[in-house]
Amino acid sequence: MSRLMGALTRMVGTAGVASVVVASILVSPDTPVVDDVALPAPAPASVAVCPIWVDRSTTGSVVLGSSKPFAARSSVYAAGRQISDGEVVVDATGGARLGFDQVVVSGLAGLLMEVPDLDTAVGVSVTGLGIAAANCTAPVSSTTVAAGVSTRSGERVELILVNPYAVDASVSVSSSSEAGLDSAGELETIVVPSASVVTRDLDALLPLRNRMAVTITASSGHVHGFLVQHGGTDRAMLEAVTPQASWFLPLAEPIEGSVEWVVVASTSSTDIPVRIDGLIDGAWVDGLWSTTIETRSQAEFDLGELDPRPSALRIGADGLIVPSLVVESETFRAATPAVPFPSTDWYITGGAGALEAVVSASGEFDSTVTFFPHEPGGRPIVVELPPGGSAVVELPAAGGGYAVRATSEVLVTWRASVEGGLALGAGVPVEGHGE
Amino acid sequence: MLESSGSPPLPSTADAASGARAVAFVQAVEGVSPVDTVRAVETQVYEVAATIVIGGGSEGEAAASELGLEHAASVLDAMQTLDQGYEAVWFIHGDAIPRPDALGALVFELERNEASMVGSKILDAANPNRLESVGAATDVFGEPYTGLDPDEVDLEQYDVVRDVSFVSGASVLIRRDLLRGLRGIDAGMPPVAAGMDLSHRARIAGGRVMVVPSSEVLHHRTCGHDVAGWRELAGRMRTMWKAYRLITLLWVIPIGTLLGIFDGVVRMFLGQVKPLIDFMRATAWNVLVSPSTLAMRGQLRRVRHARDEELFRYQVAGSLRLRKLASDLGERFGWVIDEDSGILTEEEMSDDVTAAGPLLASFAFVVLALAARALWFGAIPAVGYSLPNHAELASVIGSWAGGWNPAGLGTSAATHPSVAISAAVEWLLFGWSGATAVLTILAMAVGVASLGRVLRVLGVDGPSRHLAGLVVFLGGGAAAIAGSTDWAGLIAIGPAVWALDGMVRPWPGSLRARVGRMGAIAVASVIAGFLAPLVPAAVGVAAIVAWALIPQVRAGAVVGALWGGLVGAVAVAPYLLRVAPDAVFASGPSVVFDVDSPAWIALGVAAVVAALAGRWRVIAWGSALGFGSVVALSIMDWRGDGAVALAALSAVGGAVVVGAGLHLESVGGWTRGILGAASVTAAVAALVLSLGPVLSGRAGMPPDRWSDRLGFVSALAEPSGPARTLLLSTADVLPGDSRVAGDHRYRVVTGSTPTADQARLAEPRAGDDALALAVSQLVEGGVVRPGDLLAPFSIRWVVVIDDAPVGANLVTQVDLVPVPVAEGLAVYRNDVYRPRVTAADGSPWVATRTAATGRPTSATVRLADNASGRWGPGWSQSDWYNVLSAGDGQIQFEPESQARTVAWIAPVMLALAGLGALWGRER
Repeated sequence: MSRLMGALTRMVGTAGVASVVVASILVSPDTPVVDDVALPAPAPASVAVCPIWVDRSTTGSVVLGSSKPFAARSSVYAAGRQISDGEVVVDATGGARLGFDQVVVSGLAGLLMEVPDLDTAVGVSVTGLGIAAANCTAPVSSTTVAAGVSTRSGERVELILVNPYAVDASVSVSSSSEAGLDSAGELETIVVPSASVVTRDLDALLPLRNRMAVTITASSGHVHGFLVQHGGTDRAMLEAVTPQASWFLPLAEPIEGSVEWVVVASTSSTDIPVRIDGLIDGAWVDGLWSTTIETRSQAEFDLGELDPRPSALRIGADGLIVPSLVVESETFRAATPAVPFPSTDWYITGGAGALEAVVSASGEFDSTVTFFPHEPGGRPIVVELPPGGSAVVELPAAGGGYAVRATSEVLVTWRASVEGGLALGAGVPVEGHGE
Repeated sequence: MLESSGSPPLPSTADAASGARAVAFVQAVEGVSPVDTVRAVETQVYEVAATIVIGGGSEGEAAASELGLEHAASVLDAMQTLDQGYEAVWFIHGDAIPRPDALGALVFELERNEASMVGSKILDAANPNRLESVGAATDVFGEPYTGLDPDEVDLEQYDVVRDVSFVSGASVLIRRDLLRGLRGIDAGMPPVAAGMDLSHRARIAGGRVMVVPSSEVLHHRTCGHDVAGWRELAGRMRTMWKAYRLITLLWVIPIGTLLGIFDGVVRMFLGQVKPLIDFMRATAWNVLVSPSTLAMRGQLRRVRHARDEELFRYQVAGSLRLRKLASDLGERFGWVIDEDSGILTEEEMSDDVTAAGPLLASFAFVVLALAARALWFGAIPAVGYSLPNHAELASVIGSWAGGWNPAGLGTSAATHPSVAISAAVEWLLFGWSGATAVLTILAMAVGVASLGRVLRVLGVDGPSRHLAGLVVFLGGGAAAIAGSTDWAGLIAIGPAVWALDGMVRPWPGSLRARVGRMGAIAVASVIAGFLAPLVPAAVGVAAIVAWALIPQVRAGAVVGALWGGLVGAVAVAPYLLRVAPDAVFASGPSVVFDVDSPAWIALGVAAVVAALAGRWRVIAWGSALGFGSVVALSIMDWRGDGAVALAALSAVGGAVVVGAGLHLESVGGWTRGILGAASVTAAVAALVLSLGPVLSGRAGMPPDRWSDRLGFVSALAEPSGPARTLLLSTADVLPGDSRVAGDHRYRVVTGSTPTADQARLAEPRAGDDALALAVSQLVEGGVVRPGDLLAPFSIRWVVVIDDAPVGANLVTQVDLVPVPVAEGLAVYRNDVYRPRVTAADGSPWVATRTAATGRPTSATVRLADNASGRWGPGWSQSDWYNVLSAGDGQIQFEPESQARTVAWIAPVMLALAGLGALWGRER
């Protein structure tokens, strides 16, 4: 018995050793392949979206500015499909320009520009009936606000909702005006199909509002909202932006014959106090103006009431707001959202008309501000600003706009004018270079 | 009109003298002199008019001459030699001895009942108390049914003259005119079949067939009566083919054929090869003699007066063949459970304990079957690692054997062996999707039976030990495996316990039996290893621990443990040697013990109390397995195969504790009596608390999640082959393995249902890394063209599960189109998708798992699988994918020949082990 068990044990042991050896020999590794390969470059991380249109009375262009050369992919969508796809190369000058007529034959469309995440600005300018301009927007928030248009008699306001994405969007649009919070049934639910642009005439739906703010809330999908106001010989264009608690506006001397307003729209669900501080003589003076804005309503502030006139404003609230600067005259009307924060690096995306930069040194230091034109052969323009100082700087036409570099924090907006027309635009600050 | 004396009362001499209207046909039987039969015939109270010896060739002729009787070669010849003065013919076998009143009784009842054919009660000549036949029935397929138990004693319990389906041909009285109309007996038939044939034809002709028990005949059975063989089977088939009308034959023949094959195949598993061979021979013989069968049908048609329903009246319902098979299986099952013969002695019959064992084992098995009942009405739930087989079964098996494994973005690493064995079984069953159910039920049956035997070896020999079989498949260990969705791991418990049984039982004395034991261990270990690769080794460890703890387990257990572990490991070597150790211990199903379950508490109490009651060694072993595995898993933090092996040990250990806890026989004295009662109570509690999975019917598996959930993939499929789908979720709900990107889990599946071969993902390759980067960007957000990002990986669909946050990132993108096709899933179609195999000009090729075809060009095609040089022709690697020559119009993967060779080890080993187990089977 024990001998038999011993034999069994030896047999099992031998079989074990043999099995391991045979298996090790037979099971060779697979054919070598290279697994250490270069991984694909990260996809572009951000987009900028604008409406563009081509008609007999309009000439428009898109302006890109960046600190580095890159090739932006531009896609144009309308009526549920992509109607063009191309590249816009930002060259060594740091800027590029794309005419609307290069990508659209006629009609209204949505432009989606794929750009690197940081240090890039994209804006549109249209001329033909006066001049209008706006910055293209990124998909940041499901709620955006555009404040400062008017549907009073003789003014036509068009809400443009751009959805270049593959997912249908459903949005509700509410408005506030001097009459308080209101809206129209037609605006309560608007479906913006994918790859489409939808417009609504606000002057027909919400007529006779002197100052109006529009809040766009997407319940599904995402849209980029813009307001275009037509009146007199001009038109104004305003992008809907994401509300936040604090904003800035550099101020220049008022244009003769114009009135200036700051319209502040709140998206807060409660009444919130709003306060405007002014940069006067190099120091921030608190509480130049303060008020309480009712729930999801708005307030307006006439800059003509300020004396002395500050070189910049700081608009703060205990909730989320969007302030806009509105400039109007008999002939022109222009508006721009305030800028979100001071920075040393800015882009100006103005691409048409006589361009001026409005710059304020918002900090405690002198600032040497240099404007670099995105134009081959363009020469930089240098401005020295004392603390709290501001200036209006005329900028020669540059197809790709300007890059602004300052030695200390500044605030930048810009304005472009044509005969009978004025456009305002917010400078695009570079994140991380400011506060 | 026959004149007879009747019986009883015995006929008078005068009646007998006047009743000589019957002739006797003594059928010669080879090797037997008919002298005794003839003398018995001639001394009948009811005298015969003549006696003729029929058949037997020259031997029969010589015997007739010696007795001074006439001889005829056949019945018809004999009838022609006689005048018309007789009215009935008495057929009697040359090896039968009729009692003196046998013929008289037949004649009396024939007349009294106006029957056409009557038969005698046949008794065993060697033991006249033993009944051989007293009329019989058949089923519709011609299978005879005597209704007698083996060696049933004649207590006159059947002594009623009655109509029967057929009577034994050993002694039959039939009217002359009917016999002439039927053209005699079918000479080509063996005895039983001949009696059945004549009876059926007599009934079809409108006659009445009865048995007359008062007519007793002693039968030596030299004629071959009651000897099963292919000739009897063939004769019975011929009887049916002759007697039934065509409409009946249209269903009797095909169903009978299927039953015969099924019976034969199943009996092969019982080690009975002959039934299948006999059935095949009988069928072939009937096909060969079908011309004469048809001729006889024609003759019968001329005298037919009754429909088939007249035959059906005397038949039993159902299939006797299946009944016998079930009975035999039951007997064998009883042997498997207790190593008993299955036919119990009277002493054993009186022992309730012995009889209760198979009963309780059967009960346990039935409860387990109930617990897994969802399997009978469908497939295993498609969830986690429990997934259906891919339709290309051969290709799946090939993925185990050195072929391409397309899981994820593909790998040349072997697929998991459980996938291979599952696919192999389904392939052997011609693609029948019930293969999983078959495997499950077999595993459960084997597990229950083997556990009972293991416990008996350990000294736990009460019948209640069989109830522990419930715990092994439904208890905490099994629940942990089932909860991990590793269906294969769950059923691996069955062969694992079988292997354990082989290891711990004392080795038999003979070399042949030892070979059989090694074969059985090897078969069990190979199967268990294929289902859960580390289980054989774990079982080996358990056996060695048993040897260390329990005196009843001899040192031979160590040899068995080493042998089982070795064989199990070698069988799955292509897997174990080709995957990283991480794949075995750190990936795969997540096994989690529900230690908060009250069943564990009850089990612990049962262990303590049972140990105090005296079975501490067995309890120590069971606890070491049952609880030790839980502790080990929490320390090791394993998952996958390693964790499943520990959980399987825990399942066995828990069952051992319950089995020992239920055992009362060791109890002695009142202290132990109390402890014993407490032990039983706790064990019963543990048992009952383990029965939760019975309610769900899925044996503890989670509910189905993926069957048809991705049906849109095939519904919206393109001709280029199954598309890939990227699944994304924040919860661990994806089928099989998944990878992590940010706070999401993701994986790629191909086709409309995640299949088992895709469940486990191999070690990440370059393509997987690239995909991980792409998915990470997707999860981080800001990707405006995710379709473009995923297109290189041939991902057609993106599915976001349970509102995972990544869905919000897909709002602001331009090339994944949401498609509302599946409830609860956010499905996006990638409109810039590129098929898996794409020519340089962008045209798609049609791809299968391991090949693709398309229009031949002088350029190349791109195969979006991880690079492998075994793809061809003209392979090169570009980035992470394959570039191949399109010149042949096809590309394919060349299996690794060495791996394929190694893969053959398992089936060869299984076959050899199976043969060894059969040859050296212990009975």
